[in-house]
Amino acid sequence: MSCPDLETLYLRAADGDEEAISHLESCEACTALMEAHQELERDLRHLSDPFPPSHFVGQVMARIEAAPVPVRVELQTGFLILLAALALGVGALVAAPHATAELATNTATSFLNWREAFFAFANAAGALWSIAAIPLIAVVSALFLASLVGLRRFAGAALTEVKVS
Amino acid sequence: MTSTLQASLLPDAFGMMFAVDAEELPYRAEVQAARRGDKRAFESLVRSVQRPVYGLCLRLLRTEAEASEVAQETFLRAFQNLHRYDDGKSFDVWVMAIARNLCLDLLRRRTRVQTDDVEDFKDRLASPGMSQEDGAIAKEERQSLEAAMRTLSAQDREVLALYYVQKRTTKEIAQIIGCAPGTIMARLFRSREKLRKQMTMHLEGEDAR
Repeated sequence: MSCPDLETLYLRAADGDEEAISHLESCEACTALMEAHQELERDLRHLSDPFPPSHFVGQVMARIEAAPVPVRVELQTGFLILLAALALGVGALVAAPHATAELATNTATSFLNWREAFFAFANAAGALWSIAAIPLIAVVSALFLASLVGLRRFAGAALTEVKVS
Repeated sequence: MTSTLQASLLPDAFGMMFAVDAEELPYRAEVQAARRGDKRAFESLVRSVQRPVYGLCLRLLRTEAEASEVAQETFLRAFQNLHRYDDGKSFDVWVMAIARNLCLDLLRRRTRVQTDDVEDFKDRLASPGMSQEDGAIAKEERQSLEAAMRTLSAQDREVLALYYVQKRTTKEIAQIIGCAPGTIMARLFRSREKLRKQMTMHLEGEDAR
């Protein structure tokens, strides 16, 4: 009797294939192999995972504490701060109706007199430029550089975010 | 007749093939708390799944130092990526998949096989529920089995460890190693057959001495 491939025989017999099962019943060699597999399975089930070192959990938590805050958490925190500030502002306006009315009047007036406001702003900027041009350039440059550094850090962190399956 | 034959001759692997998933996934509350930034909840998760994670790392990498390092890295990445974890899946399966990927990355990066520390963990394998005498005999058998397992490829070791040592279902194993559940039984058979041949060679070698 010619024996089929053992893997095929095993998988077919497991699916209830009559031919494979009857071969297993009649073939001593295949039966012996199957019994060897069974014994191996019993032995394998007696193996167990080793325990990690006693300080393992402490080391994991220390690494988590030391790790930089993920970008997602930073963004979430920033968004929450923004929302809180907005809520505070709206709350303050609602709590003081006179101030709200005054603000609305002033805004409307400013809007109507936008031309005057624009010239006033331009004059103020011109005066500031003639008085303190160098400090103004320094402040604007510092703000620009800080923005660039922040953007670079943000992009860098996003790129190095780990890949998880 | 058929069922009797199947029960008596076919390896036990099929018994666990159709294991039913638990309706309520474990660790759900801890994961939600950890997502809110509760580090104590995450620490509790680490305590719960550290052993299978470390065990898989050790079986794949075969050195305690590397296994510990990779297992720690696994938990760090899990913490940083909790927002990506799908609540519909088991947390430990997700963490095991991260550990497995990190181990395979490290194995790929290795330029040579390190064998110096391979023997380190041989005696550390637990033998629950055995008398001292039984334990002594079983210890020898386990050591032979562990030695034979170490000769197999990482792919063979992982599938045997996940199925027989960690008692995971074929569906869980498929999620961890990223393949179709239907292929697991065939993989298990092939790995077991390689192991059987190794064990036979080992026994023949001992008899010849």
